Amino acid sequence: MEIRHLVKMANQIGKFFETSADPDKAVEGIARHLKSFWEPRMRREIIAHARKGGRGLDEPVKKAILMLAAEDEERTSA
Amino acid sequence: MLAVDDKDFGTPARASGQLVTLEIDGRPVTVPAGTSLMRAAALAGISVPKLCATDSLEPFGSCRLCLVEIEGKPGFPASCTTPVAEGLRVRTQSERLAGLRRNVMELYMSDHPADRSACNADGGCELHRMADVVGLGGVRYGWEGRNHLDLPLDDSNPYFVFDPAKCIVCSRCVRACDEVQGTLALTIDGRGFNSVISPSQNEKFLYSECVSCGACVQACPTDALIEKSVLEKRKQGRARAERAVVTTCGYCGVGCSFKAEMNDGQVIRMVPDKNGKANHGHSCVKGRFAWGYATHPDRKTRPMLRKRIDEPWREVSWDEAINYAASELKRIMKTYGRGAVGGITSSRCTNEETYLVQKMVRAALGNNNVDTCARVCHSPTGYGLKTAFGTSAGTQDFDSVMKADVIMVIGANPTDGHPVFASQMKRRLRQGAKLIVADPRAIDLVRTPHVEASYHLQLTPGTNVALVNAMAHVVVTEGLVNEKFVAERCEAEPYARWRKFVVEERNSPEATEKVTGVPARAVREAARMYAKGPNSAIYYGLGVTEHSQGSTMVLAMANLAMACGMLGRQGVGVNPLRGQNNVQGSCDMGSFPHELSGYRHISDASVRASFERAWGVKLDPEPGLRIPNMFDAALNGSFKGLYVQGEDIAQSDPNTRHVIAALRAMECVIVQDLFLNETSKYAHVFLPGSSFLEKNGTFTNAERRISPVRKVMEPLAGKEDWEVTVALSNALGYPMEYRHPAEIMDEIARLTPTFAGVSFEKLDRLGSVQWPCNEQAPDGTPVMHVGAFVRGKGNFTITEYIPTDERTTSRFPLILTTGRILAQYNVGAQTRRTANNVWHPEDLLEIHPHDAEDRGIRDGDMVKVSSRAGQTRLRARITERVPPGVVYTTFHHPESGANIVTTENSDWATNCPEYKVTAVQVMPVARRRKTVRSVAEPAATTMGK
Repeated sequence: MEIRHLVKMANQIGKFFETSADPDKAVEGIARHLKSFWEPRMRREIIAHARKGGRGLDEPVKKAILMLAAEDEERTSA
Repeated sequence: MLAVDDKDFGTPARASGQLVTLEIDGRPVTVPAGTSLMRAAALAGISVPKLCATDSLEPFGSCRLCLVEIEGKPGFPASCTTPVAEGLRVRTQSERLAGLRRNVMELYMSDHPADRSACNADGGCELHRMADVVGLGGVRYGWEGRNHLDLPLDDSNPYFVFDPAKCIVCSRCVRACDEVQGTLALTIDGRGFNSVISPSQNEKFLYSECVSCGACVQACPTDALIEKSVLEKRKQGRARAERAVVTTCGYCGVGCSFKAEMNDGQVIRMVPDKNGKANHGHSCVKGRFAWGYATHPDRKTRPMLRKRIDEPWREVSWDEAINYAASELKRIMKTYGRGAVGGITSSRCTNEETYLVQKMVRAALGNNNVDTCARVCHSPTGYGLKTAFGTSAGTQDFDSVMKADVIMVIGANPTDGHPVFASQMKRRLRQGAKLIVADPRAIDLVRTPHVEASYHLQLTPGTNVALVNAMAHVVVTEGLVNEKFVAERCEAEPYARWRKFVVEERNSPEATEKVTGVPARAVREAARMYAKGPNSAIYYGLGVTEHSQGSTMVLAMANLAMACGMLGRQGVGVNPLRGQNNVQGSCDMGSFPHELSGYRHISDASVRASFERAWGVKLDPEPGLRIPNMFDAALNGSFKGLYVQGEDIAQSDPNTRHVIAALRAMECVIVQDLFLNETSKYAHVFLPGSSFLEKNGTFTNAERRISPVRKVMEPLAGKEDWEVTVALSNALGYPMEYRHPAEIMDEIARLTPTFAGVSFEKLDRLGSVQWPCNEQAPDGTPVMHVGAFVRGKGNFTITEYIPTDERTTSRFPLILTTGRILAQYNVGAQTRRTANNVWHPEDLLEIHPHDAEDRGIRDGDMVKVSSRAGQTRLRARITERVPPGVVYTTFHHPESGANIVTTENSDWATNCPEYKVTAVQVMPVARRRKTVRSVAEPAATTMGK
């Protein structure tokens, strides 16, 4: 997938949760949304992008993606 | 004329808790108060002769045939206009009555063509039947006097003729157009002997305001108005219906019930079913008349395949096509991984068929790469209503509108997209309900005969959320919240947060006016009107969902409805007008990549386990690719095989260039369809599909109503669509064994709690049911969230307005928005192959006179429409329906390439494309003197708009 599309979509999701959710839960909301609706290869790509600096990603979105990455790692190593 | 096996009770039923007992011809009869004597007699099995009365219309009392005698009362009152009264003793037969009726009939027959054989050959002519019933032997007046027998025929309409020579001016057609359809296109011109039925201002039918719904044809008791298809069959001696099969329309989300009248295996005509709970005996031009596409010469009935898309098609056997398709999909999975293939279910195929496609993808292909066309239309409805209320569907049944006091239509054009429901809505509006329309365009509903919107909130495309937030601001700041409802029925903390958000000054009508373009005063007044109801209902369409904030907007409307307590009873609700005949059903059946049937997430282990047990296979717990993601993955090289059933993504999806590039990048595209469509240009396997006339199954309409689809002819290609999917699944190595779609529905019922009580047997018995249909609601659920929301308590969500990225600039200064028109249906695959083309032979670009003048564009000029995505050419129609700065077109013709210019912007939650906001420039291509006229002009605006 073109990473710019994924970045745009992720940021859009981020904007919704930043404005709509309890501010403390925005990052978690973004992560849950990505987990629920994004196919694994899309998540892998955005995680890879975030790990390389996440150019273009809004900060809460980057945090959410890295949270997902950490959860995946934990699951894999468990 | 009525369907062949319909009983006509003469006048409508009356709902009353009070019962009245009287005596008719010596028989005691008990009926609700307000029932006419005619209907009471009919219910008792006594037929009173009649001509001007029919039970779909209010009584008129003009034909003077239905006279009766009432003991103790003088004269001979018309039984159609006389209500029952306690203790009346009525006689429907006597020497005097017989004489009066014969005299009346004699007058009618004296001005009617003498040859009755053609008229009554198929038993349809009530006039001749009544002549027989009253015992009319002959006409004493001769034929030398003045008569109407030389009046010219009007056969301008492609589907029916009007022969005034056979007309008895009973005015049933006029009343049908008024009361049932609500267009009021017909009148009686002249008086006395000179009376004649007149479409509009004495226009021919085709050029009048007639929308060709067929209500007049249905109501006509003679052959004055009759279907051309019946006349054709008469020439072959095959007009008499041997049987009538009740089925469900294959067009829009209203899901009208029809009787297919058959003779020798061919459809003579489709007659709306009086017992249809979605349509109550009404229809529109598409379902009523435009069914000929099913046997159009363009139908492909043999499977075809080719190794490369630049090769010609080769017809092959079913076995060869299926085996090739399966082998290719298996090869692709082996080469690229099981995630490299997927499927798209059809929103035009049955529930059973879409269920099997998603089952095949999950069980045979081993992934969740399955999606449906709801992706590009109402997927935000699914997300938004599930989040707010707990169910991904509308809250009411259609009949609920008759209890609404305020109707708010947002981003929908029901007179074009859901015409039969629109007729019902207009009936309620004529009764006095108030109307608010929020739409950039002046849709017909804004001002139509006897209906006028109290408020037309003509907002700038892309600003829906700001508008509804502003309405909610008014509700909260002016103390109009239904605090009791909110306290009892909604979660407290989300409500408190939402309330704090919505009262902020930036959400006020005054602040949002700058963005929406809607005057603050209008927003305040509309908000007050909605909040005060007492019953206020929201109806919305793709003008809500096809935006980058589509899901947010659904949540915003849900917030407004909850705040005002407009949920959980008749007359209120949040009602998505779902476009296609089975788009609701395809979503219900688990066509989404993240959900199994019944809207349960694939990651839910216990839900997944139930399917794994039933299907005998492990399922992938991760969400699959959505349609737009499939395209991206194809271009990226990781998605190579696609099975598309009954969808034309190359025409219907946005950014056509992107879609085509994606299809080209795939190694095996399998298209299953009735015709070679735009997508099939990039396909390797073509599997011929079956129309709704050629299969058994069910459709689910916009009000969650599951209705039967019944086969009336054998599939032209030899297989029903579900049989093709079964064959493909078997060839892929996942066995499927179903003998009949009823067995598929039984499986759906076993696995899907909201469908647990559904069966073909129940549908045969009840006609239709609305889900949830289960132990708690064995006969279905017309109104949802009564007492409590499905999720328990309603969930308020903060809906911050975020402008779309699609901005106008000096290079692209106009906003293009798209929509539909009555005569055509979606990509036009069906309707373009019928006579409906006469009303809409091409897609036009509506442009405001100021914008046109600025660009030197005249009506009828070809113009270039360019966006950041591409450009296309359309013919301009100058109109004030659209405001300055906004242009509008439809997408029914592939040549117009409307989706070449639409972009990849999409809803944040669902990727539903933002069809409704595309920044464009419009410039003339070539100047012509031709003025655009739809066939329906020069009269007032009609279907060609």
